Amino acid sequence: VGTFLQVVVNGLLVGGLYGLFSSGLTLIFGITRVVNFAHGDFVTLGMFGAVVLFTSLHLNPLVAILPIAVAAFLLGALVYQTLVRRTLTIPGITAMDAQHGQMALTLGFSILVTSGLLVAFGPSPRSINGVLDNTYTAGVLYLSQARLVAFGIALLAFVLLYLGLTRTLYGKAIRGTVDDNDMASMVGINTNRVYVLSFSVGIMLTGIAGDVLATYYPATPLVGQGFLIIAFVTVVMGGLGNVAGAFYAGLLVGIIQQATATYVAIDLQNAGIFVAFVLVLLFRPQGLLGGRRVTA
Amino acid sequence: VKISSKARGYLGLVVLGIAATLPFWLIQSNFVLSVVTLTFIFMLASVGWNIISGFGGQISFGHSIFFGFGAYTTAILQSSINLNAWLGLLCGGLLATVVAALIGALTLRLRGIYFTLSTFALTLTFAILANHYGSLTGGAVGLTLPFGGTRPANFQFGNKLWYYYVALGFVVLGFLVAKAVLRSRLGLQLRAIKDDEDAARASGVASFRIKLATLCISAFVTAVSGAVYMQYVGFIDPESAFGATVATQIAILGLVGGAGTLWGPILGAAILVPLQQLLNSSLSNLPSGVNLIVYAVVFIVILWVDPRGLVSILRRVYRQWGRRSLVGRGPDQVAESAANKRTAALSITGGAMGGGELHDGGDESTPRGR
Repeated sequence: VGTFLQVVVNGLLVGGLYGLFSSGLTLIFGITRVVNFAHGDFVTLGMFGAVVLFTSLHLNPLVAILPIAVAAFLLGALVYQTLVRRTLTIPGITAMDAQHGQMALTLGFSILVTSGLLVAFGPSPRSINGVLDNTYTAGVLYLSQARLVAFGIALLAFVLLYLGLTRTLYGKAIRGTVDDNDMASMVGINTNRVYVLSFSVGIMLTGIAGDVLATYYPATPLVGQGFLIIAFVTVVMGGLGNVAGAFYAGLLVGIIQQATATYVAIDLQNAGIFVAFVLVLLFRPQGLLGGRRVTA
Repeated sequence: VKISSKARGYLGLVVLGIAATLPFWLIQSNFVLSVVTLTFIFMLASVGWNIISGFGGQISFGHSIFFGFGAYTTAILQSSINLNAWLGLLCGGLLATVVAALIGALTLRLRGIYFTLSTFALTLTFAILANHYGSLTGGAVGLTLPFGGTRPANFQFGNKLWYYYVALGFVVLGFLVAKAVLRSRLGLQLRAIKDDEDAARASGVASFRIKLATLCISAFVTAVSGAVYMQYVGFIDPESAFGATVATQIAILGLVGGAGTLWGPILGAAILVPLQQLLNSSLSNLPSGVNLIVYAVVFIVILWVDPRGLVSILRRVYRQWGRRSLVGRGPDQVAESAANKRTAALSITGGAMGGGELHDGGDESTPRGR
């Protein structure tokens, strides 16, 4: 029972971050219809950002959240305006061709990021030592301080996103654009700005997740590829475009991953997620939460 | 300003003629020969990919599943029960078709995006499984083909030139399969599904079954490329069979060339695979990663110019050139050509009747901005 509890707690704690960057991906997809193949690399960039700020300026990763969030937001806007928007401004292009072009372009950006990081930092893992290193014991449980803090930040960021989407005028504009973008632009919403904003916010959340993850997970240029897959699986489990669903599914994915690693085999931990993914596709393709969509 | 289907056929024969004689005037070293042979192999993989992803609009980022099954099946059958390699190739194709049917049954009832995400997730799952269950696949170490001497009946050639022509032959076969699909009733139904799946279903197209059948054909072609790769290279491991690099490579070749056009994957592979191979070898004294940066920049630039790929770029250039050549002709001809253009834009199946190419963006309405 002790092991089982430990597995669940570990899964939940890492799952919070999965949930955070997956809600970023699903936010982007739900609003802009962009399938972002570079999503995992924004996690990597967040991690390397934290590592660089820590090793060069001794900046605590928790303080570094702020500059990294701003940088990720701006980078997201840049990627949207230069790569994604380009596919929408070609005369005569169909929405489907545009979407396929976006997949290939974001994939190209992903290769640029991984290779660029490889050139700059080499393939060996880099980690942040000496921050949040404590471990607490609660009964039979061992709790790492870094993981607890990371979970807290993920939860906080998600709640802010949720409130932003449901309670603010910006959120209202976003939801209106998703429902009917022609109508939205008729009532004076700048829909392009809505798309840029959602894309940037999605990337910002992902960057934050990367920054916090770096406190206990070593960064390598290729680390993002695994996170991309986790994010893909998570957004489908949560229901495509469902921000809250993605967060809950992230927690579940974390638990499944930990359980597979403990009870089956550690190198099969991601295969366990995919089995769950296939089951979801079979029985609940609309997502585990069903029709409750926050953004639509 | 339209190329007739006859002219297109001749163009195809000319391209084939050039490809078949390359070893006699351009290819002077074994290195170049192997680059072009690998180009043909990935070209075939992408031609297969194009059948479901291009013609049907269901973008797969996991055709490496079929590539890997093709490669592993022939290798395992050959090393365990000493099966003939040509039969192994056939078995690989059939097994990949079965896998395709299972994956399709799972995902093709849903919208295309589920297919994209699932294929990508599944190919990496197969990579993990192939790593873990090493007794069958050799695990991370990989599988090396047993060398049985030079026996053409068993896909073992002494002269590397044979592999070149076998690979080229399979590309031609794959191309003809793709062309047959596009020209058939199946191809028309696929196009209807790609343009508007709801409308296609409303007019009686059994979209799920059509997509499933197409995926099976597509998987078979790509699996053959995997088997040829195995026989040519003689080595496979989980990463080079199911890994993300192969998975995305196959799709990128098609997307950069022009998904949904017959010549797209041919053009994409002819440009990108040699580029990649040359970068890998000639820039190897640079830090690792620089070659991939150059590769990525090249294909980003191409897609930035036109997200529909090279064929679309060529078509625009050709049309521009044609329009310019109209200046100075009689007004009748100009009016006639304008009328032609209008009907081309109006007819839904314009390309299909003409020469087996997909509609060239005749839809002038701007996308919905998403």
